[in-house]
This record gives sequence, structure tokens and C-alpha cells, in this order.
Amino acid sequence: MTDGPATGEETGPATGVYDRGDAVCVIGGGSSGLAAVKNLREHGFEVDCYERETGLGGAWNAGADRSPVYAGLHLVSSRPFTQFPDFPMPDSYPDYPDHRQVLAYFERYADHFELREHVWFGTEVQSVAATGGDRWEVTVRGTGGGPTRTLRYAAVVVANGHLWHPHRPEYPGQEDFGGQIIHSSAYKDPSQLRGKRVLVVGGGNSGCDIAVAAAQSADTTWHSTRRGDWLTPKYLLGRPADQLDDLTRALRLPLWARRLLYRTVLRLTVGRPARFGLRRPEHKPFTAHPVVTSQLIYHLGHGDLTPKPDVAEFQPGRVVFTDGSSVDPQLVVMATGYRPRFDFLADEYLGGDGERPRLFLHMLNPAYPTLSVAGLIDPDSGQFGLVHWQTVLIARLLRARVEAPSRAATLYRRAERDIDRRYLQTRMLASGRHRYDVGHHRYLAALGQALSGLEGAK
Amino acid sequence: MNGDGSRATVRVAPTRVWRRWDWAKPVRPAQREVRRAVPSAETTAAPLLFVPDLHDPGAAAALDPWLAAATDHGRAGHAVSPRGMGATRGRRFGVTRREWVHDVVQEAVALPRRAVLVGHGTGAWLVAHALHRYPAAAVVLVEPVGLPGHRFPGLGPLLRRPRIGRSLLLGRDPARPAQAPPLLVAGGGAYPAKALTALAVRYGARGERLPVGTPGALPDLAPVLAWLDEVVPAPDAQLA
Repeated sequence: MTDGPATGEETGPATGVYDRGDAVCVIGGGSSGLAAVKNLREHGFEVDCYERETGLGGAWNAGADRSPVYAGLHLVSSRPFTQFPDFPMPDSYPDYPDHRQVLAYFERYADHFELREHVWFGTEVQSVAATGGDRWEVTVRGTGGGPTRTLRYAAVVVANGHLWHPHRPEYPGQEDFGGQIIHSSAYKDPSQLRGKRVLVVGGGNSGCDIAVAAAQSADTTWHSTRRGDWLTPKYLLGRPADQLDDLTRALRLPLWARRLLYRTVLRLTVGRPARFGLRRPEHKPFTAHPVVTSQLIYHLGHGDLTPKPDVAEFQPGRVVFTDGSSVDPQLVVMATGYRPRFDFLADEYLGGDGERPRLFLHMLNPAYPTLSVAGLIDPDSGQFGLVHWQTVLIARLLRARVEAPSRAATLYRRAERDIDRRYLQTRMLASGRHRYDVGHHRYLAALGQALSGLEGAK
Repeated sequence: MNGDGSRATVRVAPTRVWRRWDWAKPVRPAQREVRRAVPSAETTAAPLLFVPDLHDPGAAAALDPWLAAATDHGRAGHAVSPRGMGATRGRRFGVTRREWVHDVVQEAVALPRRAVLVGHGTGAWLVAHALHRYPAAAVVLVEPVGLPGHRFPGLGPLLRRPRIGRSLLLGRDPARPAQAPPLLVAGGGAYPAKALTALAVRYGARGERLPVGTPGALPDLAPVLAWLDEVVPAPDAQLA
């Protein structure tokens, strides 16, 4: 299936462009791409989805070379937040499924809604360019090589994910270090850590996970973080912590009361950070992306790993921290995150400077109404549920462009006005990391409002 | 009575993206009873998921004739008794509508492909609610009870199962979702024709009278299966 869609009219042998009529092109067959295919199909669109790997699942497809998945990776948001709202995860799944269960869930989603026949596996999108009349020319090529093909689509949904291009900050002296430095994307299982002196850099969710894995397998483990953070255990008061937090929201507690409750519960059940050698968080709860880990505290309490501040510099064989202390790791794992990348798309289409797209709802650029991005968000809860509604909005908007143009125009006008809105529940810490953060309540409210604007009479 | 003709009177529910109680207090898993019948020849046709009348003591077992009719017609049939019904163990009272809808949707998504939901009696009421949680291939409401047109389940059932009665009579009516599958409202000889028409108009659905063999027995499903072949034909049938 690497030849691209067979149907379609060739407009002329000279140009070699296949016109796919009203069909929509979806780039990426991961969680967002699959939701886009399903919802576009449900709204009556023909869809061609291009996936560079030979299997679906995107980031969750552990066999793919760009997958950030590692052994022992579990969801950090519990099931009801993470699942697609119209395709709940089975009751037999645990509160926090692991990556294999998540991939199996996507496979079932694709089979149940018969999505595979619309996905062209092993096919990479090379370029996407606007042509007249808000249409798009998409050039694709088999991942294994072969000729390129150009097809013309009525709309393009970019769902290429934002967790595959590693962000590697450079530290002074890094090239003379001598030991091994890998990014967390290259960490796959604990055998890479066994018997070594390991330094894990990064206090995000994968940083904490890998620090825990190193505490269990490595000889010595250090964990370097830039700041003290609120480490939320996976369970609080007998239920998944995110469900407890949403219970306080459902009971309409104000933010200050939720913060007070959170601090109190954490103090009573876990204790002060200083007890474990951690720095006290200087920011208020809910102002940084949540870090959910129960085991880090456990291993700190057992002396299996040593917390360290930010890395100041590398020296031959040593790493020096900002407090002047130094260690001599054999392996440094940089859990410094990922950055989105759109090689196939000119920066102007996303309205920003490439690394920093400027999009309404993190999805739409009003200047190019038939181009949308799905999944370019980093919610404070599960991702797939939000992406489902994103893709429903994309499908309804594309349909409204034909059936109710005035409603679509109203939404685009709003998009221009609200293009810089962020949908956070509170002001976030200044950090490049929080560029795509959204609070799931605020963001869903905005999506719901946009959806209801497209419903009803024409 | 066709959907498009009566759209003006159809009430479309606004899309509900916000599900705060599903996040804060998700439904806990419970045992369900499922009876399955699969045709001898392999098929890719949309499977049928039957939801029995909650007042029927047999629950899923009471729908065995329909399972047989579905397999004779070449479609896989599954009948679910949600928690507290039929052969399930556990709580029989105090079960909420949210929990029953959860059970129906869990069974629907467990099927290999997009299912057709067929609800009977108060089961149709559950199906109408489940429509907002699962994008079914098609929906059939047979002799619906608890929906506009025929809301009252009767005094006997109401006294035996007051909790369901309260939900039926006082709960919110499920409106047609914005993105609705093909809908059919069907009733046997004893079902009031006026209720059938009212509901069909309200949902922008097609209405159908079903023949009944003996009084009190389940209505004959043949016209429903014929309608399904029209709106969700099996892919292999399309090729043939």
C-alpha cells in the first residue's frame, strides 16, 4: 500500500497531480490522526491518511524508530480523562494503562471504525503547499524510496505529533565529557542502565520515570532538576489523583480552595519535600505541567537515588551542578523533552516562526482556513479526549464551509480575534515547556463553544 | 415520516463536550451478562447489540428469539443484561441510568466493528441515551418506553422497580444527537400508533409497524432486519 490512493483523476500527464476532489488529507496515523480520520469519515468526507511507519499508533507504536515509548511507560492521566469519549477503554483496563494497552486500544479503535483502509502506511509526506481556492497539493513518497506523487486535496489535517523530535539543550563542556550522553527518546529499557552510574537530567514525567527505572537497576543514580516541583502521586485519598482534582472542580471549589486542599492532602500523605532532599516548589500548585509519580518519593525514601539541582557544566568525566557539587556518571540521560517540527510545511502556513505556530485553539490559522492542526496541545489531563473534540470541530467546520458558510465565517472571525488565547486555568511558569499547555476545562469549554456555533440553522 | 422531511420539528441536542462527573466519579465496572449468537458463515456486516426491557425478569435471555432471527439473517447478534439485570450478580436496586448506559456502551465498543443498537421497551430508552456516548452504525427503538410519546412504564413495573421509574419519569429526555446515525422506531400491534408517530417525528426517524405472532410475544424483527440491509448493508453484500 505504498503507491498512494488509486482513485482520483489525473489532471494531466505534464503536472502529474492527482485531484482527489473533496477528499481530506490527514498527516499521521497516531492518536490524533486516527481520531481525525474517524470523525471526518463520520461527517461524510473521503479521507487519505499518510503514516510513515508500517503500523498505526504514532508515538505509542513502540516498534517505530521515532517512538518515545520506553519499557514501563504508563499513562499519567487516568482512564476517563485519556480515552476517546465515544470509545471508552474497556472496564478490564487498569486506572493507568501501560503503553502496550494504549497501542492495543488504538488498534481496536481503528478496527472497530474500519479506519485502516483509509491509512497509507509506509508513506511519508514530503511537502504540503497551498494552491488556488483554499486547496492543497500534497507530495508523498514511500518511506523506502520510490517515486514521489502529488495529490490535490480540499483540506489538510496535520496530526504529525509533537513528541518525536528531541529537544537537546547544550551545556558548556559537553563535547569533552567523555561519558555517554543519550536523550530520553533513546532510552528503551532498564538493561541500558544496569550496573552503571547514571545521571538523569529533567524533572518532567519521563525524567521521573527514568530516574525511578535507574534507581531500580543502575549502580548509582542522580536526578537533576531545574526547580522543585509538585510531585503528585498517582493516587490520593483512595482514588486517582486527577479524578480527585476533578471532583473538587465538579464541586465548584475555587482555585485557591483547590490549592489549599491539594497542599494539605499532599502534606498529610506524602510530607514535606525537604524530608526527601527535594527543593520546596517555589511556584503555586497548578502553575506548571503536572508531574505525576508515586515511585520517585518511594525510592528517595529508600536512598536509591540522589536529587541534584540543575546542571551547570560538563567537565571531562564529571558533571558539575549549580550548587558547586559534582558527580562522575558513566551515562547521562537527557529527559529534556521534545519540540514540534513541521518539515513538510512552510512556516507561513502555521502563522508563526516554525517552532512556535500561532494558531486559534492551537488548531486553526484563519489565513488558511482549510488547514488545521490536531493534537498540538499538552493538556493538564488526558490528550485523546480533547483531540477527539478538536477533530469533530475540524470536520464540522469543513462541512459548514459548504453547507453554512456564514457560520464558518463567524468562527474564522472569532479565530482572528482570539488567536492568542491560551486556555490555561491559571498563569503558568515562564518556560518554553508550557507553550502548548492547556487546562482541559477551559480548552473544552472553548471547543464546545466553537462547536455549538456551527450547529443549528444555517 | 422520513428523517429529512420532518427535520424542522426534530430537537437536536447541543454537543456536550463537558462530562465533569465522568471524570470526577467514573462508573465502576460491574458484571454484565451477554448472550451471543454468530452466524455460521463469517460476515463483515454490522453486528446487532440488543438491549432488553429492564422490566423483563429474563433480561438478555428474553431476547433469544431476536438473536436467532439475526443469525438467520446473517448478522451476529449480542444481547446484554446490564448490571442488576438477568443473570448478573451484585446490586439490583439503586443502579443508575449512567451505570446502565456505561454497560451498554462497554459492550458496544467490545464488538469487532461498529454496532447497530436495538433497544426494546425501557431498553430503547437506554439506547437513546447511549447514542450520545457511542456513534452506532444505526439505531432501532422497538416499542420504546420512557421516551416522549410513551413515557409511563405501567403501574406494575413502576412499583417493582421504582428507581427505574423515577429515572424514566423525571429524568432528562435524550434529544437526537447532532451527528445521528439512521434511526428506526418500530412497534408491534399492541403498541399505540400515536406514540410511535410522535417519537419518529421527534427524532427525525423512520416509523415501522411490526407484525406480532402471539399476544405478549416479542414482535417479529423481519422488517427491522430488512431496513438494516438498506441503511447499513454488509460490505460483502454490496460487492455481490
